[in-house]
Amino acid sequence: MQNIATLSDPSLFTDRCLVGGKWIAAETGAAIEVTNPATGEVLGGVPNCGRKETDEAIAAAARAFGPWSRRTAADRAALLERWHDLVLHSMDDLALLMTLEQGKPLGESRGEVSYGASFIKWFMPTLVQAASRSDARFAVKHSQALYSDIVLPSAHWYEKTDLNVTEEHTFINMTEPAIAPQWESKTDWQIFKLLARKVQEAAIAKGHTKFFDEQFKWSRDLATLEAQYTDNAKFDSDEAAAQFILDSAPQSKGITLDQLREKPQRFKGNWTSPMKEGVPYTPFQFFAVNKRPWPTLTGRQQYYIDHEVFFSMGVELPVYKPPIDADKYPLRFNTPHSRHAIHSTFKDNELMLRLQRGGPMVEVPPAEAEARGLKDNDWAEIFNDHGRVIVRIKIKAGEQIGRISMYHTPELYMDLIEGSSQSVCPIRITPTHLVGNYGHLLFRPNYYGPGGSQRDTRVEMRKYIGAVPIPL
Amino acid sequence: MTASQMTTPKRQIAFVADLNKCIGCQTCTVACKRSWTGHAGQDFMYWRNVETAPGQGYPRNWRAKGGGYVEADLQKGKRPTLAEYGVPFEFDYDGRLFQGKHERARPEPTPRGAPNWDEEQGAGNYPNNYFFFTPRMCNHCSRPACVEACPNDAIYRRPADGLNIINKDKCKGTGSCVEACPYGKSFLNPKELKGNKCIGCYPRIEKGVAPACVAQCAGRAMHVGYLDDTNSSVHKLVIVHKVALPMFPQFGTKPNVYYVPPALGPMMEDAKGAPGDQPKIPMTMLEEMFGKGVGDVVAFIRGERARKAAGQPSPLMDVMIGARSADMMVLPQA
Repeated sequence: MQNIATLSDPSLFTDRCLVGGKWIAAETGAAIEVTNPATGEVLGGVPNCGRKETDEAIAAAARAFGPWSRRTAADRAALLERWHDLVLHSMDDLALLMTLEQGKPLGESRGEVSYGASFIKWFMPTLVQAASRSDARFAVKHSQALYSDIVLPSAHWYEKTDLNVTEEHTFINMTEPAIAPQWESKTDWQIFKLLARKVQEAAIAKGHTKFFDEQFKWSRDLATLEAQYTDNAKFDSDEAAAQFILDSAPQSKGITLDQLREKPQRFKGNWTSPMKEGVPYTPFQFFAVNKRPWPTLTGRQQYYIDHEVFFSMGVELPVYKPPIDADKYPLRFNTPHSRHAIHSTFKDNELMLRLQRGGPMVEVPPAEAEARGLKDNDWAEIFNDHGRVIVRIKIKAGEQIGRISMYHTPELYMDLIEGSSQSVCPIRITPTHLVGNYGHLLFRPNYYGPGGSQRDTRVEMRKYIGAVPIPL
Repeated sequence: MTASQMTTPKRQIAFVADLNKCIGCQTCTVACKRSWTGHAGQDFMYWRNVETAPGQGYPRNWRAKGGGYVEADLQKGKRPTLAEYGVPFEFDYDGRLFQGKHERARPEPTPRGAPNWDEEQGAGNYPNNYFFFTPRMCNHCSRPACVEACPNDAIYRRPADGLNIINKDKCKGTGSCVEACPYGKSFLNPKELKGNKCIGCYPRIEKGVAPACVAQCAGRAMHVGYLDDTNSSVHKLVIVHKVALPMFPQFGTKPNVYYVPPALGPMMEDAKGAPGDQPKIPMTMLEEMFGKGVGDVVAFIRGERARKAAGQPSPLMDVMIGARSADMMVLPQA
């Protein structure tokens, strides 16, 4: 008869718990007996763990979560695959253990091992798909590319014909190629055109050419996707596509690419105001001048919100609220736009970094550095209840006392010891964000809802005395 | 040095940098680096750089390196060390981004100095701290210490435009020019053992195209042209309005790169934050950099700006504003 002694891999039988990579017993030494229901024989025991071990297990999982998340999806999928294979490899042993403990037939136990392993397998492609869906950004040298399985080389500003607009001003301008797209790079329009072609090919090959798009309530025909995308090759070129966009929006109808080549052109109007040639733009004229009702609860500009949640928090009118953790965290943490980068673009540029200090810095006023025993270019630990970042400091006379500044979003592979500018910046939610659908108050993250706290974060800073990476 | 090398050129190219407009973006630095100093032995070398004043500059503490002239006597200065230039560091992006290395792509070796190491650090206590950016390059001097110092007569003044150029066939890499230049703008290439320095983008000048540092200037702070060309903005700024001054004229080399001194910066604030009538940048600092006459120039520029702001005509402001880029780089082909 088979028993524990007949396991082909005896190491699979253990009376310990795995916490933080170590097999542990309960701190008290207490164990729960495990018996064979058929014979009453004591097979072994499992640790009778308490609060302390539980806390340790949760903390270990929390510690592992960051490094685990930072692995690429492909990497995680590969690990899961290895796990799946090992489970199947030991199927007989695992099934025997289950049968000895539970008394069910061996065949059923084997089925259960196989079924259990199938969950691991199911998560592997899911992981890859998830990464492809959300992280496939069209830039090669970018932190996000490291978390993607497919990275498409995208032409840069200076390599393509494209339109360029922003909410921040009233002009449309264009990008024009100074050089051809480098290596295999393609313009956004060409990338999407080729994607449409590939989707069409795959849809035809799989016989799945029709599908109903729930979001837009629209039956799509994938068999002709490329022709639809380019309107039967009418918009094959980047120029034709850009001109089509100009022609199709009332705000830009009548503007030509040639005009944009000459100089930026003004929108004809936007949703708040008309625009007149030679007259500076003033927003909200439709409401302020033409007396169209404002899109608010009362149809007027209003600061007063008569909602019970606002009443209960005493914020029916705007009120000043002092910082909540100013005593513990005396420094304001400022994360301005970068001096030599556009968000994270160009932030890792060797030519620029080599002029400076080779990595991100936090700028510190002389008095705050001195008070903490910090010298220029020292590593400092900047922290609050939310997290910490370990970064070099730069002492700067122009920084205000009580404030430190770090240009936002360094690439995650740049020369920091830990964390990033966002590590200490919580995204806070207040109950007033959640009143939802009350007049003009519609929940929308970053607009009316939780948003960044770039100017509203407090930290403390101290000299970092841990290990410093030594480059090879 | 032979007589021909010190012959007065027929014409003289000059550069003007308006320190009221330079935003320290380093576009000129990179434009120059990409154009000229990407070759072996040049990685530490920046013919063009922008540094913060007050500050250590590039090479570090170049103001005290020596060289130039004391009255008639050529001075032998120091040869900057690689550490003073800043040891160029590398990043293993290839390993991190394409080969699955998990470590961060840290600069190697660990940076200890760089051309713009002390960017914006400046001096003074907030809110009365101050700094300004100074773009620097070879001054293409009319009394070039490098030319006189070269034992091999390898540096010559171009007759057509007065640019000072190293003849690499004659250069034997003695480094005398590196020691003689008080601005730290002559370099010794350790790989080819030749002197290297700014060539004023003469291949562009010969085609009537502005040098890269001028053409690329995002802040429109740079002017270039022939000093005797009455149409050129450098003529107007240097000769007519006399608002563009050489930097450290006491070094005695007669530079042909001129600077419009920072005249339009903020005024000292009192305890309540109200601005007074003294500029944050101390006049003593400007006088050391641009000579005793700088105070009058600053006052003149401020007066002209006030006129322009009041809707009155100001030819000086029109030149400094440079509404058309082409007017800031008038370079008729010879």
